[in-house]
Amino acid sequence: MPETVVVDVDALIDKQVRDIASLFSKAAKNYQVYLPNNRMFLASLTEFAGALQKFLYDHETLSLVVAEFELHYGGKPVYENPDKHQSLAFRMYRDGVRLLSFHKGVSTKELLDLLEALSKCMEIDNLEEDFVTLLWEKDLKRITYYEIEDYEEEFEPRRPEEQAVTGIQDDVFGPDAESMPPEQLQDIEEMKNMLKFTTDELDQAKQMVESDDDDLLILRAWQVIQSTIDLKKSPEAFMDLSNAVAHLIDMAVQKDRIGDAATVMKEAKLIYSKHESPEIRASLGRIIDAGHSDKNFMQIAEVISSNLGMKGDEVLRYLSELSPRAIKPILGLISVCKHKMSRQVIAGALASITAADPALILQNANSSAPLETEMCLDVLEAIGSEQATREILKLKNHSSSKVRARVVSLAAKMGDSHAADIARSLIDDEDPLVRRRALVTIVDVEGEECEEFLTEVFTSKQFAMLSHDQKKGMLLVIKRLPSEVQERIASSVLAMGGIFQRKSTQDTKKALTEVLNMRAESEAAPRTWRRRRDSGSE
Amino acid sequence: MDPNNDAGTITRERPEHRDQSEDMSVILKTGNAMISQMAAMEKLLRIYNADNDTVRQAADALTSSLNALAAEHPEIEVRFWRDCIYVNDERLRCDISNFSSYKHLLKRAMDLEIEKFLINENVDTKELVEFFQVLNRAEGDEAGVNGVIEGMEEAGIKNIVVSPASETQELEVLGIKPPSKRERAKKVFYSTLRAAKAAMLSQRPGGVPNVRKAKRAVQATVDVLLDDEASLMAMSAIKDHDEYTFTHSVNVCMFSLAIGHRVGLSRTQLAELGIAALFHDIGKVSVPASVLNKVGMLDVDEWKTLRNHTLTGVQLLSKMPRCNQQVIRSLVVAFQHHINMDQTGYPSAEDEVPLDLYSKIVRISDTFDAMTTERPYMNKVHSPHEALQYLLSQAGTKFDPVLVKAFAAALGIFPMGTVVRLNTGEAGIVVKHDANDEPDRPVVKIIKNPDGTQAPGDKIVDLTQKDPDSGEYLYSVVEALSCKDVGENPRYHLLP
Repeated sequence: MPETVVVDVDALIDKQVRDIASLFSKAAKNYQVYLPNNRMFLASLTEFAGALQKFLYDHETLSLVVAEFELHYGGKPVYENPDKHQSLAFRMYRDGVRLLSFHKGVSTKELLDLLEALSKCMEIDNLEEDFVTLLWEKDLKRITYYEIEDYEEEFEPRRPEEQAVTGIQDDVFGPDAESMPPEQLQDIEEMKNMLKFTTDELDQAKQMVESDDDDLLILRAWQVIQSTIDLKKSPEAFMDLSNAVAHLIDMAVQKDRIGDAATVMKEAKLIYSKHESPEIRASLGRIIDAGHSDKNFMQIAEVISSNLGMKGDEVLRYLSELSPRAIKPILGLISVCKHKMSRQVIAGALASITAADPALILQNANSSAPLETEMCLDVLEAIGSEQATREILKLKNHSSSKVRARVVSLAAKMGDSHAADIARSLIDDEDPLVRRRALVTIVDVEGEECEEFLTEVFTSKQFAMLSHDQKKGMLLVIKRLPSEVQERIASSVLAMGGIFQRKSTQDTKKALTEVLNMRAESEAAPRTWRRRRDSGSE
Repeated sequence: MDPNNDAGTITRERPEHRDQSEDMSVILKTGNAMISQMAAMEKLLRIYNADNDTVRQAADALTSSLNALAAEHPEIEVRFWRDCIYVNDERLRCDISNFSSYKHLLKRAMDLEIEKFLINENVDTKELVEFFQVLNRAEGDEAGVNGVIEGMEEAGIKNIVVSPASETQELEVLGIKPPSKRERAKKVFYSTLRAAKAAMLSQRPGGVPNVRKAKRAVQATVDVLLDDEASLMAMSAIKDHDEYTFTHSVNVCMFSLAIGHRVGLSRTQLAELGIAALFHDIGKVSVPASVLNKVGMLDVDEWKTLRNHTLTGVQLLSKMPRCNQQVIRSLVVAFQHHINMDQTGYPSAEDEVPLDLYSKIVRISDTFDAMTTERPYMNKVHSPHEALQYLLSQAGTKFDPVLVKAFAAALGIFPMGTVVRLNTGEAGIVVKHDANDEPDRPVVKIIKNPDGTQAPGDKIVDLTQKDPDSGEYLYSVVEALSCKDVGENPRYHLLP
């Protein structure tokens, strides 16, 4: 006869719950250590959710009694950790939770929310929230808790008893306020009728709730702050309220109300800077600092990296309100720009910030990052002042050939008197693009006067060393000159042919002939050039 | 009823594609209609038989809503969870358009300790009618949900499954007896009072604000409100003179939450409104005690000092270390709560002040509580009924008319604590109100006999009761009296 196996069901359940508690603790620990999308964390969450859901499938509910350092099930401890900083039980117990229940159907998302609340309540500077307030806000349907009320008394020393405010005056009916209410105004039937809602009123109520969103709150709060400053007029009010203004700016950015943040920043700066008092000036600093937080830049980066669309103007206004301290982080935003418009927004903002002192833009640029340097050039071009031009010219020896090429082009475009000199200095540049740009600049700036210089270039030893295509690319600049000048240069170059090696001479001759034969295309030539230049090939 | 479906059975055809948000919108729209139809069915079956035309029409309407939902979902789950109704996991919003039905159905489910109904697509009109008859028969039965389940088995209802609520069983694990609703409301009132006091006093120089406790207390208050608005409203009878500023703040918080709930604010929005209402008078901590405690009218300078509390409130709230959205909202309310809709009131700004919804709500609650609280310099303390009449008379000029109506709907024409004279000549205090259907018919505790002598105090009459023969109401209010007329403090009759 086979031996009968006696299964201790209670012991099996206990083990199952102990395992769940252990997985719960592991997931909570991993949540604190890793990012929510980390593979290690996700694996521990999935394991915890799986074990719990399996248990709930059979038992409907799992209620864990929360003791100071332990979790109990069926009167027995299933988890214990006496370390106040690590204990899962203590985190809940400290905030008054005495029972935590999971119900059938609990989702991984709900468990994630629970772990988030457990982690957030441990933040040292979290003065407004505890585990219970956080869990309440999560409004989880399948995780419930029982809390006691006077939870803090065991852990927080009580403050010395203060004198209570025992006001009995009210502020509704003062000497110059509204008159006291009359006696019986309506009879009961009349009141009953008044209480019935019309369809319009139902719509109004709906609209009232729906329209009262955060969109309006920022600017309303700003109006309140302005009025309070205006009515109070004391330096203390300025100082105290600067804290609210700073938070309002941050809140607006975080809520993607970047335009509102810009408005508040602009107007607050105006109001605060009108005052000479050092305290008020210091408060202005706090407002400006708010706009520079990393969190705000992260939000702006998110907006920029997604489709900027209608937000372009808002972002531009906001970034333009920042101080020169923001140049570096703004330049850092270039890496997330996907569209030309985003780059234009950044360039516009930087131009606005550095307009008074264009030198700042280069001081903040990281010379080893060509993207940033190019953005600096965009900005300096947008500023367009003489000082900005001088800053551009400082980059003529930049390590990036693209930058050098743009320096030459911009110098010519901005009509700088030294543009031709700079171009001449770059005519032997190692990069063909730079060389060609330099030539174009010289031709554009000097016109027919450059004939002698061009002839000299095309008959030089360095020119002879170039490939056929490179030669052709450079020779094309003569198309910008009148035909008689083109012919004179051509004959001079061909006449000098004998001094070169045979192959080079033939190449030069061939290239020159090709260029001169392109008469039909001469009108289209600049456009063709531009397109080629953009693609970076010669 | 579907003309092609004589049995009224729910059809099974389902469209193939529908995105999630579209599906949610169908659930919310149809779900809200379904809740109203269920409440109507339940109420009608109390009065009429199953074969009554009105009942049949209501049953048809309900079947048609279920049909619409069944097109997408083979099973429809109506869940009653933490004072909200969910249909297939989507929370239905409660606002003034569906408040009465929503609360009625929720209350019935809570009383019977039902957590959910699971309605199968094969359910027919006959089964639906029988189900609501079973629910009605179970009313007042101690067996609660078990009685309902037994009744359903007896009636042969197979396509509706009822599940019992599990919360009570959870507390049994801890060996805790759940408090009564009034006890819970009272506990919440006092914990909110303590939290308000601690937070407001900590705003004095050198103090560290403890917003956490206040937030937690307000969240608990929201839970009580969603569960039983009447119990919370009864707490407003607590008028503690020694702690006026704090008691007033808590009362304003509770009244504001009632208005917010009626107009359909979400649970999280209610918590935000509650905090803003609780701190609306925070600026008063800086008003000298000589002004606040003065017996008699204030002179112009004192009045100016008192009025300054709105600005001081903004300033104090600005100093909070984490000036988050909740604080920003509170700051707006602290500034605006004395500005009327017609822009009268104070503080007066140069430009028109666009009033925040929360400020408009707090303005109403603040006025009501101030009018109904006795203070030495006032000639007369107003009864809640009188204060309500005043608010209604100023609706549209000083106060937002829709919000005043929502407030009146929460309080009833005779708010709790109002002393009334009945058609029998007896005088009593309004102790309970189910203001949803019959706002002028509260529950009254008789305190004076018709001859003016003291009543024994154990007679409580429900003014919705009718004479079974004549169909006439047994009791009606003929007038509202002031507390002084009967020499009674309503507090002792309202609190547990």
